Amino acid sequence: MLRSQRESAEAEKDHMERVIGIDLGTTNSCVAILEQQTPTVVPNRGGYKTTPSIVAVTEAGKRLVGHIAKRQAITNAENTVYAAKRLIGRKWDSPQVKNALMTTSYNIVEGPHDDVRIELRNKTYSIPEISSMILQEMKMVAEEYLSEPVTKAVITVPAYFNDNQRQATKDAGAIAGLDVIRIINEPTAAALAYGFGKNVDATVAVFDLGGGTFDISILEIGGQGVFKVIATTGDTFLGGEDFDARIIDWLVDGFRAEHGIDLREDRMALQRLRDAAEKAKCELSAVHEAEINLPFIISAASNEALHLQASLTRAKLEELTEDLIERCIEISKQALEDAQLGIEEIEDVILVGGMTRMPAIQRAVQDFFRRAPNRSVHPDEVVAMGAAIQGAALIEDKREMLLLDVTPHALGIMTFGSHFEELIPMNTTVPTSMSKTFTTSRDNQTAVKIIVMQGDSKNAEDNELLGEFILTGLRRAAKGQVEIEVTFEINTDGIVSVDARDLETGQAQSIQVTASSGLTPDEVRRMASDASEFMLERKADDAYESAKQRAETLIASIDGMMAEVERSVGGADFGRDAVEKGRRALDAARAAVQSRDAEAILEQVQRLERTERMFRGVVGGT
Amino acid sequence: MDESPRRPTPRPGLDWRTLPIGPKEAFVLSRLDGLAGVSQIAITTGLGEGDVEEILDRLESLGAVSFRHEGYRSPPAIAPPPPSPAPPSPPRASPYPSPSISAPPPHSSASSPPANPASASRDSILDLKPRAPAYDVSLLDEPADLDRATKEKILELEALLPRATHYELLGVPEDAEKAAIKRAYFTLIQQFHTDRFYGKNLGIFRSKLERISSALTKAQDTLSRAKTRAEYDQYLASRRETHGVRDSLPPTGAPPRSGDADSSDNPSIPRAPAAPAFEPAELAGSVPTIPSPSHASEVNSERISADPITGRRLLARKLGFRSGEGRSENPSSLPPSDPETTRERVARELKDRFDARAESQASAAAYYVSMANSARESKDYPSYVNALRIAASLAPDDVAIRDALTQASIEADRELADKFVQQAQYEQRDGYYERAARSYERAARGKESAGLLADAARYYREAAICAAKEGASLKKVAELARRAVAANGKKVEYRLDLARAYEKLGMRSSAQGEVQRALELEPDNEVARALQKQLR
Ligand SMILES: Nc1ncnc2c1ncn2[C@@H]1O[C@H](COP(=O)(O)OP(=O)(O)OP(=O)(O)O)[C@@H](O)[C@H]1O
Ligand SMILES: [Mg+2]
Repeated sequence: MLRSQRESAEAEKDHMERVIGIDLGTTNSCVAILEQQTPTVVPNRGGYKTTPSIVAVTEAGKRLVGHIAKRQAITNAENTVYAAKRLIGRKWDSPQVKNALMTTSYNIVEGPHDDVRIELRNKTYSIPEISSMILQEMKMVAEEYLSEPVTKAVITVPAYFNDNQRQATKDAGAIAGLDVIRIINEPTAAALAYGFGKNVDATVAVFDLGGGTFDISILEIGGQGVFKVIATTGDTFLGGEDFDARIIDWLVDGFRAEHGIDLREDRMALQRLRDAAEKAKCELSAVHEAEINLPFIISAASNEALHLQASLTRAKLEELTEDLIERCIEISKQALEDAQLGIEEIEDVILVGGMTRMPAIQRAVQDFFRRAPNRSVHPDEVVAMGAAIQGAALIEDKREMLLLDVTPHALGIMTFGSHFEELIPMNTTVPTSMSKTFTTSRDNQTAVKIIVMQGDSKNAEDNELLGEFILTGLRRAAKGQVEIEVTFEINTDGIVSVDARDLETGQAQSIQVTASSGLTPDEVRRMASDASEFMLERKADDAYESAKQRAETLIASIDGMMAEVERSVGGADFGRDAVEKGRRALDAARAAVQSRDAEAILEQVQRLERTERMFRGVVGGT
Repeated sequence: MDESPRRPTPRPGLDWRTLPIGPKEAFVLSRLDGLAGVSQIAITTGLGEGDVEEILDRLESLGAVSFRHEGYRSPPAIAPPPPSPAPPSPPRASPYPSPSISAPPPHSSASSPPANPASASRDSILDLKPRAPAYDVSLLDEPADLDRATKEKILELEALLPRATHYELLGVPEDAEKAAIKRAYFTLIQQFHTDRFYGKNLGIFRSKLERISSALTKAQDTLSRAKTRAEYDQYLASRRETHGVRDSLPPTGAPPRSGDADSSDNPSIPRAPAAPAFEPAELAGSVPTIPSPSHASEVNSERISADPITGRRLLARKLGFRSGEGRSENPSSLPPSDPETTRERVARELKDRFDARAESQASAAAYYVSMANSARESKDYPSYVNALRIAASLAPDDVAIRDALTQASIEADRELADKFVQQAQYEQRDGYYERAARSYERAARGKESAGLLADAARYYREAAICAAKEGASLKKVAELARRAVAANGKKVEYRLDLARAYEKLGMRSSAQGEVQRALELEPDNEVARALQKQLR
């Protein structure tokens, strides 16, 4: 079946270029393609449909991504990065980063542009670089499945991401050698997959609680294949990790009470706790009680090894996380308010994200929306599927599907007194443009600085800075006399441009706002070329592996025939000669394999093949 | 609904001499062929589009012309093709490709009055006639990976944007259900969203598509929420209510017209020499739906001598049958089913009285005057003015009626001024600066005639600012600024505004004069000083 799919994939290839859809999750990532109008999740080498978003560097300097990185995490905790998505596009001095500093087992350091870097084995990596390693892995998974190179991708981000975080994700794509044709929101992608090809005509809510973020979006889906987001909101720091943290706290507190030791001080112990907590949490979705058993978790001062043993009930977990669930519901309420809709107007609720498997969450959702949530979509795969659908819809010729998304945060400028003046409110459908008139704040002011910000606070300092520029050549006048019209425009690709003009002199200045990911374009280029070198290395690796394998198969086969060949023709000169030649070929091949030089091995493979043919002729002839 | 792009047709058998018009109007009337749109007429007459719109509005309210909505019905065949400078484009039924969504604009029935049954039967032939597009056809040659038909669709829809109401843009009736609005929006946005053309070179069409998309979304967002829809409906209603009196306002700076019923000199309506006119057509509310055929047949048209059917129908619908406007695609299903409002009752009484008196063949003009008085009592100012206008057209030599009309215009302006302010504010908030400029101007005039000069000045200034934002001509802006000063000469800022406008027009000495006067008012004003230095 797989084969026939690939063949048809080959056939389709001529018409269009493939676009893959990647759900770059906090805990798990997933890649999908649209195959014959069916969104298909591509399994990784291990056969899993999702890949842990974990990156590690081994002692030998080798990079590990996914399941393998997860497996070695305990023994290599300081060099294993998980949940990097929580740091992407963040400023060094943000509270989120401060929080991460306390809780991560890897080392976070300050970057050159007020950004965040991670130190792994004496080398520092930017967050987009870390994410790019995961993207590269997903790209490779897709390429292996399609047996063709992939360059274009649609990547999803939490709906509540700001432009800096989106830009950083785009940069990660670029570093991974991907042309990111669009960044779309995770809940929107889920809705696309939910409504794809089904002629849905309804108002739906998407409730997405993943490992790191919570998003809720309200959409109108029309029979014409249009998906229009009406409102979206969320929290980029509310997810499964926080549930795990509650369990960890509980375990740590219990241990401290018993032994007077703080397990947090030990990074290895912390990593084990983290794994155990998540495991228990997941188990409790199915059973009512989970055992947590961590022998030899730490050595006491007396050098005596201590064990951690606890039993967590579902009820206890629900008690520990009650406020987190409440917060999800609060945010959902906000979304409905923003959409100006009543609960009864929501016709379906789609659950997305691994955390929605938790019974208490399902119950809370059902109570709030007063209807049983929809279970038709796979919570872990639906986002990647939606991304693949959007990718195909953009590049295909017959475009029957249209996605209309909104700005999750207000956009505006900072005005006198650090006040944030909104120009484009949140939940505005793009493309859009709006203007407002401002005046000068000082007498004889001849220039103004236009500071472009994004956020939902009236206080400019609480919002994200997106960019700034200066409008000069203003007429000298008393304050409040010069009128400056500022126009914001967001195009379909989400690119923001800002134009400011003096209404009288016509003097104008405009910029295209490039959100700052924490990396300069040059850095992104350099990292991309580093990464592609790394890819080349890795490709060479693959070539060596396959050449070696081929050589070894041939060596084994020739070895196996050697005795028989010797027996049948060893008496004759030509026979002795042949056997001798064969032996030499084997030696040379073994040496080549030792050298790890793929090309040298391949040369020997040819010789081996000749030898094998000859031997077969001899053996078969008798 | 702003009737554009629109194709005016002279009413057949019209006796021009009965109309209270001047040479300019007559000239425009003589150029109408039922095919040319406003921009073509502007070209053939050498008048500005704003003037043309204004004249057409006036002619329409006098019943001299009727309109066809471009893209919906085609114009009469009797006329020769327009002197189009560009190659004709193939016939199109609608800017919207699918007939299912291009529901006729609510006022379409008004453009094919039942009194003129011939027009209906001609339509089939007419559709084959090439029509002049409402946009610059040379844009079709702009490079883009789009076929010609798509380019045409985009340009047509874009041309419609500044004038169409949200309902018209989406092609839905004004009582459309939320679901129908959503459907219409989804169908249209599918066709005009740039994602549909992803990866293609769209050239100048990209920004046009984005403008269309945002306008469609704005319409949908406004209409899909009860609160914003109610606000918008109220705004539309207000626009329509004031619609009837727009002609009573002389255009800014238009030279006095002789023989013009409402142009009699009145000191409280200042006029500037030969400044360009503001285009009040933008302000116009929609053409109201005409009464159902049964109503129309009640009116015995043969009895009226000077102003036949159209004028009366116009009046009748303005008096009583406007509530059905756009609410139903089938005019015969119009009210009265709603509880009768005072206004409707008055209207009915008026009509009854009118019918009765017409029967007795008394002076038609006198009936209109009496109707005007009733309308005034019920505070229906648009009808008040309109009734007098018709009366004046019936008795062009009656000085008393003419004076009454002048008086009525002033009164109506005054009474409606606050409505105009509200409209202007809504328009300004929504970024429709051109419309806002006009509404402010009208508000200012009303305030002016009410003697509230400080208010008048303030609104003239707002009008000037909006006009500047919209990119109106400097002359227009200057004229409005001048009016602000005329209304309130004590405000330094107003004078400085005007000075700067003069300066930009190259009228240095006038600018210096204004600055001088500003400095007389406030000798230490720094801005004034700086400007003075600059002007030297
Ligand atoms: N059966 C389960 N019961 C409870 N929680 C679960 C279960 N299965 C997975 N989870 C939790 O779901 C989270 C991962 O969900 P998911 O893979 O959807 O997140 P993600 O897409 O990586 O993150 P995000 O969308 O926030 O970036 C983890 O915290 C995991 O522990
Ligand atoms: Mg997710």
